[in-house]
Amino acid sequence: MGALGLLVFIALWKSAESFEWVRRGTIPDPFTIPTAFWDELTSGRLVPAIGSSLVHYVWGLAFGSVLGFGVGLGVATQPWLDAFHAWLARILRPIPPLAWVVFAIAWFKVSHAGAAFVISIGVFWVNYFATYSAVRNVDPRFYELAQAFGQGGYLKRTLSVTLPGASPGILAGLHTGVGQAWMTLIAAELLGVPGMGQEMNAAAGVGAYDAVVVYMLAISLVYTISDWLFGMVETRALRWRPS
Amino acid sequence: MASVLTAKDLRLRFPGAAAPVIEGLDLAVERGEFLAVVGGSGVGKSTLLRAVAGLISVDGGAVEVFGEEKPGRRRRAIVFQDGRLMPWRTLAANINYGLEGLNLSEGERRARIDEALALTGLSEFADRYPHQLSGGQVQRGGIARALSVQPDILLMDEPFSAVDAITRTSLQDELIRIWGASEAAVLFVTHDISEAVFLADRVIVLSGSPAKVALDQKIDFARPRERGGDAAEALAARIKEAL
Repeated sequence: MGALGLLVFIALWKSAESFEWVRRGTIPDPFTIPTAFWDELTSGRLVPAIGSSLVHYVWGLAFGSVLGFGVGLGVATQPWLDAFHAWLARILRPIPPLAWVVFAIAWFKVSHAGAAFVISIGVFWVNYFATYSAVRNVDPRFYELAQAFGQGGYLKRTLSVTLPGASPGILAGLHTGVGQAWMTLIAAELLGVPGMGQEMNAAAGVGAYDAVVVYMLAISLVYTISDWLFGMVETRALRWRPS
Repeated sequence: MASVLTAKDLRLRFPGAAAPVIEGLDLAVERGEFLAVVGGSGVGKSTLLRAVAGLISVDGGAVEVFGEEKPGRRRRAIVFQDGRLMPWRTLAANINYGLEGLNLSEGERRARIDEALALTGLSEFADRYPHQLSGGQVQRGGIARALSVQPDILLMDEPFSAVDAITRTSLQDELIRIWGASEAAVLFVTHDISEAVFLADRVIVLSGSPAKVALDQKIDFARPRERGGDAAEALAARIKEAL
């Protein structure tokens, strides 16, 4: 059934191109995509672009995840921190990550660091909220248990109850971040940091829409792989849950 | 006989309540004794148990635990109404929870866990997660966890009220066997009069608002005891009257 859906989609795509549903030359022929893919691969553009994208992807994801998790955990377990940051979070939260591009360029120029910075902001909020609510929802009965068996101190309680109890929500947040980072990544690269987004932009500039599609599919592929890898980690970490 | 735990002139309140739920309560649990505390719902039985377990602070009076602190042991251990095994730990790891921080070697802990599992008939389930256990097994797991710290007093909060009648009967028999095999005293909170009469050496009835000890009744039927019987019925009737 899934394959059928794909075939129908390609047929629609092909007809859109053949019958000129959109302006001629602005939609590539689906059957030229494999050739275009081969061109991009052999011309030595595709692999370095993926590599470059992965550099700021990994850094942005790592920073955003660690900070989002850390801050979320801190404010969820320390009432004074929670009160302290409440207004700040309310003001900063609605700002879309891409609005920070201006400062990313001002501070980091057009560099990996700039792109990683923009990516990390989106990832930060995802993880911050996921961790915060997961920690708040840990069953308080287990804190009583921790206290009863001499594990009531902050550190022991956090390690033995808070983190494992909140782990499904925390991991779901990390997982969402893995995807969210790809979404922001392409946009962050449109400003010129080398990577798949930039190659896409360059290809579009010369009307090579088939190459644009190649990069779109490459993004999809890399996303699918990272999503799958994280899914395996998540399943393994949460194998205690009833399936 | 030496007391293992006493409460003197105890005054307790539910969190946030203005009036005390228990006032002027004196209580002494003798070494190795099986003491049942009976009372209607809302009379403060569980609150009393949490106070003597050191889980909540008292409003007035004092709880004292006797006997020296020995390394590798906890003087008090609690069994909760809901069993309260951590879903992210296997049964063996749940039992280990009470032992963490007790300064025992890996081998000693292993031995304690095995012993507690054997005593509660759970040896073959050591590596199961709580959701793979029945309600009765979870409850026995909670008892095993409490026993493994070799307490002087086992505090039990209506531990058999959430399981079916057949399981309850066998758990009661098992508890008596386990109690006989250990040197621990038991403070057993229940609303079930016949359960208290079947299990305990002595029954204390809590009643009134604020609650006081309405009856302190020794039960010197020989063990192993029969369920029911005229003498037990008469005693139960007496207790019921005091409620």
